[in-house]
Amino acid sequence: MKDKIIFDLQNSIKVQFKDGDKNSFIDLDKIYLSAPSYKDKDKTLLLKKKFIEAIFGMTQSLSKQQASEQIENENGLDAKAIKAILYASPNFDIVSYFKLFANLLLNVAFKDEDIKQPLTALDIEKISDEDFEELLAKYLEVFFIVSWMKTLK
Amino acid sequence: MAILKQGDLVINGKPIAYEGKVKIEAGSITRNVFSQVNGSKLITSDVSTNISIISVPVRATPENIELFTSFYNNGDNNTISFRNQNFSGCVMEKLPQIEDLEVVEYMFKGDPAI
Repeated sequence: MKDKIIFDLQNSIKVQFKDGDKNSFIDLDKIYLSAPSYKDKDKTLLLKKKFIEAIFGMTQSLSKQQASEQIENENGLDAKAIKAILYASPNFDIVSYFKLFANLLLNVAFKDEDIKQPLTALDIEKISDEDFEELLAKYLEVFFIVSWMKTLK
Repeated sequence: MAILKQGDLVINGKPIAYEGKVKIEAGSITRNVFSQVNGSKLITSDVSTNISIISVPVRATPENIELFTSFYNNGDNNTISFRNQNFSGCVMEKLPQIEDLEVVEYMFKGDPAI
């Protein structure tokens, strides 16, 4: 599994940035994301639980056989399919899911390649809806989906 | 620490826990308008008011005192974001008088809001 990915923002955001000793503002167009660590378990476990609930929500109407095949097929979920699951699952609380992910971002999202300058809550609020949605889907795809889907096997 | 991370005030990339209200004067150029006999109005610009003033009330704990002293020692090399306003080149003219664990106001002057 990768330990770091770079996410390109479609809409750059103005953030505080320390360049050497100089504090300034920059238009950030890349976010550096590190893999979650054990200390993030309180958030990652909830993300996992709710995502699996979303999959079961989608497969509720299917027969046991169909549901099993559907889950089997979802081992290789990409960002697009992840978004479809989150939005299409009935009774899924996507607002709290996004908030939970924003909380996780405080620990895993950085403004610099050296992973030393974390995004703050203010910075995260500036990310556009489209970028945030894509960021969430990409993060789940890269760091979580393979291990999560093993739970369902 | 979890509450701090959610803060809406950030100085040099560090979320700041404040008590009370952060006061902002965003700064702007003052226009002075003078009438002229038999002529159009004369308008001049006073740039001395084109400066932001940011006042931050914080509890004077040892950690906060150390943090804000480091901001003071940075000279004008401080950046402040409060909600959707950003200020660069912020400098503290002086350190405030501090009573242990009281709420004190740290005042910064900086570039106009961006």
